[in-house]
Amino acid sequence: MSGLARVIRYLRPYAWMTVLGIVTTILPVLMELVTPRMVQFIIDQGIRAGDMTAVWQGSGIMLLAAILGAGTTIGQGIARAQISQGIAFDLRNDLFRHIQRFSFANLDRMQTGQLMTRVSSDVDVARMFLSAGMALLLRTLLMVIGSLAMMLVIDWRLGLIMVAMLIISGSVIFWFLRVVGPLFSIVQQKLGKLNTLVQENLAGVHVVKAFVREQYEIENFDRDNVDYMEQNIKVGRYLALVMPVLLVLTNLGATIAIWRGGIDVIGGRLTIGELVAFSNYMLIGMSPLLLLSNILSMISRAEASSKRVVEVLDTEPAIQPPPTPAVITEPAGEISFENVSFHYSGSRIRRGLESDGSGNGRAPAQGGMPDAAPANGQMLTRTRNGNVRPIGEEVLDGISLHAAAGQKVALMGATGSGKSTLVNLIPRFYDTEGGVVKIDGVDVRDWEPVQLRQEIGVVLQQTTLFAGTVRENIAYGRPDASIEEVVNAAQAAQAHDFIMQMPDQYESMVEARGANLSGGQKQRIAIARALLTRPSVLILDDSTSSVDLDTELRLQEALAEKMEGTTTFIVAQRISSVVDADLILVLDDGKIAAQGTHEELLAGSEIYQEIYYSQFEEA
Amino acid sequence: MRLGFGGGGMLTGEAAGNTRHTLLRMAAYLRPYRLQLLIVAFFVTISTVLRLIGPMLLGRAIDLYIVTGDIVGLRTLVNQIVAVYVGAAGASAVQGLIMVVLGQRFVSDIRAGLFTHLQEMSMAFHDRNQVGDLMSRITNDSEAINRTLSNGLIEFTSNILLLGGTFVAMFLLNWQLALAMTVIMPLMLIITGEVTRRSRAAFRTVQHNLGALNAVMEENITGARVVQAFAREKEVYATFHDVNSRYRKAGMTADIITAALGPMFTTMMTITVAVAALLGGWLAINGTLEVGVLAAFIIYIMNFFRPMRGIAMLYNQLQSALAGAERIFQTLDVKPTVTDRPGAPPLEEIEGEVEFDNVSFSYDAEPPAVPVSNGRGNGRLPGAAAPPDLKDEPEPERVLENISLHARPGATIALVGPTGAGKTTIISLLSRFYDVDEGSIRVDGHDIRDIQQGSLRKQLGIVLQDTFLFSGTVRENIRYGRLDATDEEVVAAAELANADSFIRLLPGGYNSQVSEQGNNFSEGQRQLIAIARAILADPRILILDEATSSVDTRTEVQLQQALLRLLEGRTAFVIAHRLSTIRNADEVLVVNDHRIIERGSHEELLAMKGFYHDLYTSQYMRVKGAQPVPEGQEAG
Repeated sequence: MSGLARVIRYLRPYAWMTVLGIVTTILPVLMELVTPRMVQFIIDQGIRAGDMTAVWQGSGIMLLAAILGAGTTIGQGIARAQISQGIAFDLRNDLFRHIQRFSFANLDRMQTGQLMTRVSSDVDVARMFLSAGMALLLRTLLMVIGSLAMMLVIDWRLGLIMVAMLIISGSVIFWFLRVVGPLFSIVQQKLGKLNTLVQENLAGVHVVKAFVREQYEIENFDRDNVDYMEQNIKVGRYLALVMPVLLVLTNLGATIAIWRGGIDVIGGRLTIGELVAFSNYMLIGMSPLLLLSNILSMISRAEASSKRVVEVLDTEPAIQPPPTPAVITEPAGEISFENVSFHYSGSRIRRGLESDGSGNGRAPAQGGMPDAAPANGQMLTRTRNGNVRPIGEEVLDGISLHAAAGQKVALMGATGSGKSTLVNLIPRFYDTEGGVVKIDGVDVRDWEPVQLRQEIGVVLQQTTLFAGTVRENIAYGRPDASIEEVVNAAQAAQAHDFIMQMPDQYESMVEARGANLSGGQKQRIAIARALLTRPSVLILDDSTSSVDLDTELRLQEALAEKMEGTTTFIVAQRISSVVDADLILVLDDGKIAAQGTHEELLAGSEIYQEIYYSQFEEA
Repeated sequence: MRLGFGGGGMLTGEAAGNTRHTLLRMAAYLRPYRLQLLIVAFFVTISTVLRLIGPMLLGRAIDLYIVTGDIVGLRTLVNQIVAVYVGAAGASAVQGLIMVVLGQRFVSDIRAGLFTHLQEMSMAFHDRNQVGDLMSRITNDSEAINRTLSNGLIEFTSNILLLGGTFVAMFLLNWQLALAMTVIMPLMLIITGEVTRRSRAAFRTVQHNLGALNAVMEENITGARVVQAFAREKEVYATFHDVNSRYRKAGMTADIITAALGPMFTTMMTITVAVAALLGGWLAINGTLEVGVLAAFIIYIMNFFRPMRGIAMLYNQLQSALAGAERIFQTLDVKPTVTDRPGAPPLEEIEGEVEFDNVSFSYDAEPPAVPVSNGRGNGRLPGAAAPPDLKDEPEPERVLENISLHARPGATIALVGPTGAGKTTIISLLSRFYDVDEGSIRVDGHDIRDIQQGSLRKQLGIVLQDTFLFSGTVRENIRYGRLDATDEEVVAAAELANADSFIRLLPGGYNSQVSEQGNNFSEGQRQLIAIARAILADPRILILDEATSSVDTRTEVQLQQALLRLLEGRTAFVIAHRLSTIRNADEVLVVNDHRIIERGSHEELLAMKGFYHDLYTSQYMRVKGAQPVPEGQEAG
């Protein structure tokens, strides 16, 4: 019950509400317990004795109890809602905030659908227990203990029969918890898998359509859907069986009590009134036991889900802020790499939260690929940062470079040669495995990450825009920017003209996946977004690949003018994009193969010459 | 909101008649399970009747045997009681086992139906709906139905039977007392009606806000890299906090209403017992009522209230299911805009001739694509969110005007022009992701609206601008192009796409895992994999929309040579900005401002000294000769 215990710790801010909740749960139970006692009173003291006053008294007390019960139940409802919704709210906030803190290295290994399932579905499962389950559990225990006490008071020998029944029922319940608990984990896991499939399918709907894979996707969905369903059925079967078993047990107890009690009445050791009261207590005391199977399933579900929630919270972001960040005012933007090496996790690690090797099993025949290592006969090693990698698979190897403040540095090289990786180390999206990256002479690991990233304007290779207007998207990095500033940034990014042609100009909505914008337009909005933050370091990672040359040329001129003094790192494929750079680095297989200006490289670097001729051969 | 169901797509203020409609539609999903339902009903009846007989026998035990001291009779009766309870438990086990399967099948049918429907929806629909909200409909909304239905149906039936049975038994026992009980009935109905009316609205808000929460989550988890790059965690968190608060508030309202219902009934029960005891006590003292009858009667009152309470709570729960079902049916009711004409034949094996005849198109003029959710803002940027609707429709913006083109089988057509000119749209129309507003597109002489869209796309190999890889292995991703391809064919396609060399260097080779959206690959590598995927499809018409924009030019040159071989005999449409990519095209179409402004071969266009010429020379200007190098360049 470790997961649930952690979740229950979230009760702390609601301490008073919890007290109110407990009190308002106990009171109605007590009030309900009064009823059979009074019925007995009415029968024995009133009817048998022919005393109408006793009948009145008994009924009056019952009525009073009913009214008191009504009042407290209202309080109970409010307390329960406050507590359970409050805890769920806090949990979701914590989870979301925590997920936002995950570094790229964490995110690379997780699936959106799985994470979403944990934030919404798993939290809701825990909430339902906190709301209904806890109160029911408390109520059931009170009812059982209370009526048992009353039964023992009435006749302890008869009461002992019930105690025996309870012990047997308890064993059944215990067994049930042991067996069914783990099954619920699997239910939620399958739900996460289903969610992941749906999420990917919808995000990649254009590919699905392009390849006419709707049927294939439906089959995949059906498989996971059936999987999820079957797991649910499996659990449901246990539930369907445990309920009647408890029903038989409790009623068997009642019957034995009546049998023994009847004999006692006949023998004159028990009054009929007592027997009636006894059987009534049995009815109200034992019937909550039937609810217990519901509560039990709630508990085991909640425990399974809580574990999944806690798992997210316990996953530490790979990038940790320094305990005492360096104080940097007015950074100039000087950047240096000193013998930097880096590698990504070569394969997924199988750990609960992280997506497992089988992906989402789009092609079941392929099966899972738990670890890449044996497949290739390579040894895997776990690196300092928790990345798993094959030995000797460096993405960056011994990179040293220096960019003075305000310089423009260009990176060229083959696909996969490490260009993006190199620039991703500057805003500390990943930590290096060896060597140091410094800005203004300060190790990036000593910067406050937020300050670091505010100083750096990044245009990532994959353009991501958000739901909202064009203006909101450009002002993403600085929501308080005035419309003039937004327009300025858009103008510099050569986005202003096409934005003005959109139906609502800057207030036009960006559709899902930026569907109403062309690739080049999205890239220019992303550039405007980065420019608006007035960074001291600007990183353009292949961010004009879909922009036509004419526009790109104008963009470069505008950047040269407006971003003067800003250190710029530009990853590009086109020679025309890098020709005016102060320093061009040619990367090859994670190493710097050559560096210099355009002229120097054209004269001295074979790779650069090759790149050049691939673009200008016939010109 | 541009189109469809007004503000946010939430069906608020729903007429009561619609609830019945929703219920009927849910019932339609149960139709395949009629037989099982009948069996379940049978066992429910048995177990309920037996459970009803139980206390009756207990009552008789007191009056008939205990009072008279008949131990032998008591023993027989006790045996009967045990038999009854075992029978009841057996029946309820059977019914439970059947119902579990049935209920789960039912919900999984709904989920599958919804997913299938989403696959059929046109691109315009997907452009306008947020992934997270749609996901919420498939899982969370169907889960809401599941919660109610799997247990609800049994409990409801058994409660109704229990109620009816108790009622009859009470009448047989003592009709005066039973009549007195009926007085309470209207009161309970009023309370239940009043409570559920409120809870229905609350549950709707809950499901709606859950959808919104999911949408914010999906967007910010997939976009988490950008969030971090801009150090926007705080603001994003504030947005989430906001939606989360709304979800909590809605949930709290629903919870309080729901929580109040049960205890309200319990209280009423106690009052009734008190009144019955009073009345019964008076009757008993006057000798018109036996004590045993009164005791049994009080048990019946409790037995009467428990199913009543159960029904009321179930009815309340049903509101949650209805709220979920409404959102699901709302989605199912949106029809795809691009559909196959009834009786449209499949497109036979084609030669690859493509013709655009005076095609005009605008995204806004699409027939109402009906965004089910409010695709706008969702208040992500507080303060800046404009009201989602009530905006006058602007003149639909023409994306393409009077486009005509003709591609002979086997020809390579290049599309060039500034960003946003409409190049990608031309390709999307050819793939029939959208339907043209005016004019027509013909493939091998068939208007593409007259043939099955799937059969058209199967003969196209499309590499889209937005490279998208699925999580899974590299091999699975390439095989997506043709599912029955052998491993050798996958490798061959990768070789052609120049992807084989880097794939082999991966730790797992072709079995290496692609993480979500291919984040563990560089954009250039993703593009090469996407090209391999299209090659594997072995299409008659190949479409490359900036397929190599992030691939380095040396690799691209090698790739092009391979592609040249591949393209022999196939029609190709190529969009690219690097002019080196398009020099070999048979015809180059220059698209600017939504029209084709120049056309001809590379040489012809250069000779024309027009737009293309300018475009072309700008690429070389800065590099070759004494170029006008912009200011800001310092000595390296």
